[in-house]
Amino acid sequence: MMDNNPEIEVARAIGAGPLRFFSRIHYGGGAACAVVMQAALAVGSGAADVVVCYRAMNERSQQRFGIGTTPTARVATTETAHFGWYAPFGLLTPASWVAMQGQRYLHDYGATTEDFGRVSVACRRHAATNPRRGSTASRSRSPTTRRRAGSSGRFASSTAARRATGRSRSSSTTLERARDAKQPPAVIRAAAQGASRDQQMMTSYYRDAIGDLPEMADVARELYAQSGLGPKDFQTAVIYDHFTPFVLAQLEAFGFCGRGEAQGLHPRRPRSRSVARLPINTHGGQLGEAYIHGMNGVAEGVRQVRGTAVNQVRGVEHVLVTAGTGVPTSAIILGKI
Amino acid sequence: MGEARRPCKQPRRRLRVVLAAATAAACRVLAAATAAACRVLAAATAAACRVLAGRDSRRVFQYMSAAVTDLPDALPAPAPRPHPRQPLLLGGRRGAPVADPALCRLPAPAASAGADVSRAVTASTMEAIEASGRGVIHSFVVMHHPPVPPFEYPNVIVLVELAEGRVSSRASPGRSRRRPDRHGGARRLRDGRRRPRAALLPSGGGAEGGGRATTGDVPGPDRDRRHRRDRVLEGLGAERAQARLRGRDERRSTTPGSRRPTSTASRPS
Repeated sequence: MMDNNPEIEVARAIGAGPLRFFSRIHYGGGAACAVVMQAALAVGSGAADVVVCYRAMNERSQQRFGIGTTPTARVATTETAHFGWYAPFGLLTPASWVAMQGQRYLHDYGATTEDFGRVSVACRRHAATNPRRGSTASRSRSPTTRRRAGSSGRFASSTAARRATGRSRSSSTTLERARDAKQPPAVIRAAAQGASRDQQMMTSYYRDAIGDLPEMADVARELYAQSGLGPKDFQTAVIYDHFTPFVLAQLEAFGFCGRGEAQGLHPRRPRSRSVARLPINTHGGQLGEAYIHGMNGVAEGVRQVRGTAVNQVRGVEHVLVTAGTGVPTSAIILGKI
Repeated sequence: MGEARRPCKQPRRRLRVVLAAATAAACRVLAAATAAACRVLAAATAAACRVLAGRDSRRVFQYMSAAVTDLPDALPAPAPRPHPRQPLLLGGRRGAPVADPALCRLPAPAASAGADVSRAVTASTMEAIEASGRGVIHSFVVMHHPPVPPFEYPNVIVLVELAEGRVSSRASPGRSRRRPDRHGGARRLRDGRRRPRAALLPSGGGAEGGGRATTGDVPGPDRDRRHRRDRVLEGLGAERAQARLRGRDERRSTTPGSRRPTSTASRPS
């Protein structure tokens, strides 16, 4: 993934031998599962034997995401130029870019900000029993109440993932090697990246339905085709939750419910039973555990498959892990050996 | 020993004092210069932004697909617009700078090419055209942010479906202090006309056409909250808005007992 720690420095720090394959994938959290996919490709092709995927973030004193304004002028590139159509009006931050799409989601499907708030509540509740949760989250020991998360009109600010400091990594290798490893492995059943038509970085506003995530629907189709699995085959899922509106859109993209029906995600009044049966982000997600661009979600997926998660779901056969959305994205399916 | 040292120490101390003073002075000068430069820069930026935000024209840059432009009848001459400065959107008044030059995609010229081609941005041909000034709000954001000049907060930013394409804009410069969903009562614009009241309408549907696409109208607190919240997603011309609001009032009066109409076009404000 994108990272402030180059591969060579990490290799020096851990005393690794010569590197045969290294790579970084762009688009922030959208790369969380893409790195696993490309690691699998490297191992599959023989370019590498073992690939370590890592992401470390220190948003307190290092690069901070989500501010929107920068103290110094940035050189315009093709990637940043389109922000020139939003920034002059004051649409400056990732939260506001997503809010534009979330607002349309509310309008299209009759959802409320409370529906978004439930995602936060679920994540914080899971995080409350997770000793790994970030220090920011740990300050509020009690899970966020629905009232606090949902009744706020400013859902853009209340549902964004908090800044965090942390790191996460996973290793990919061949099945034969993994069998010999100390820890039981999780098998990568399927992996795909996705960028849909008219994709922009965070501001894909020129599509017909801006409340949906067509790139994630593409990824879902690809994953299901590769693995032969369907929405009913997952016991738990790690749905990237940088912004809660996109969690609902992802659940819909993966067919856990119909379009616009993810608002039924409610522990007591489930309108869509398949969603209600699917515990998501059992580690607390980006909202509850830490915002580490989704690599901690991959780690949680592995733990759920191994049976070592802090909020372990019973009888896990397959776990879906998704990466950041609103940007070119990716997802993987992890399964038992 | 100590006394012997003192004479040697004095000049050093003096030197240190002088040096420190000089450094401090230099720092002050530097800081002042930096501050001045920053002020100038900020002023220039603010001025530039004001110019941008206040430019009284509604030009829209259009990217055109090469495949489309090559076709002879792909781009029929635009029909003459009788009132290019019609009021637009939330509280836009005649002649007010509302939409700014912004990027948009060419909507499907369905006669000559499929939607696939027309929506693709494949050519570098770009031209500025005058937008009709009418549009429908596709979505909006009420921006809360630590103040950044020259914006006023809360800053309402809208994504507008113009006839020419989708653009982002501020809802209405100088009027963005009010939350759009609190435009309850009738207000008059500066030129005496009534402010078009915003009403929720099903996207793309007629007055009774669409309704909600989903199962959203399950009775309960959710629904009520939803109804309170959902009101500004479509800006209307004054006449249309009033007609619709009249229609809503009639409907309301004919259905006593049903506090809020469900799945109809208008929501109570």
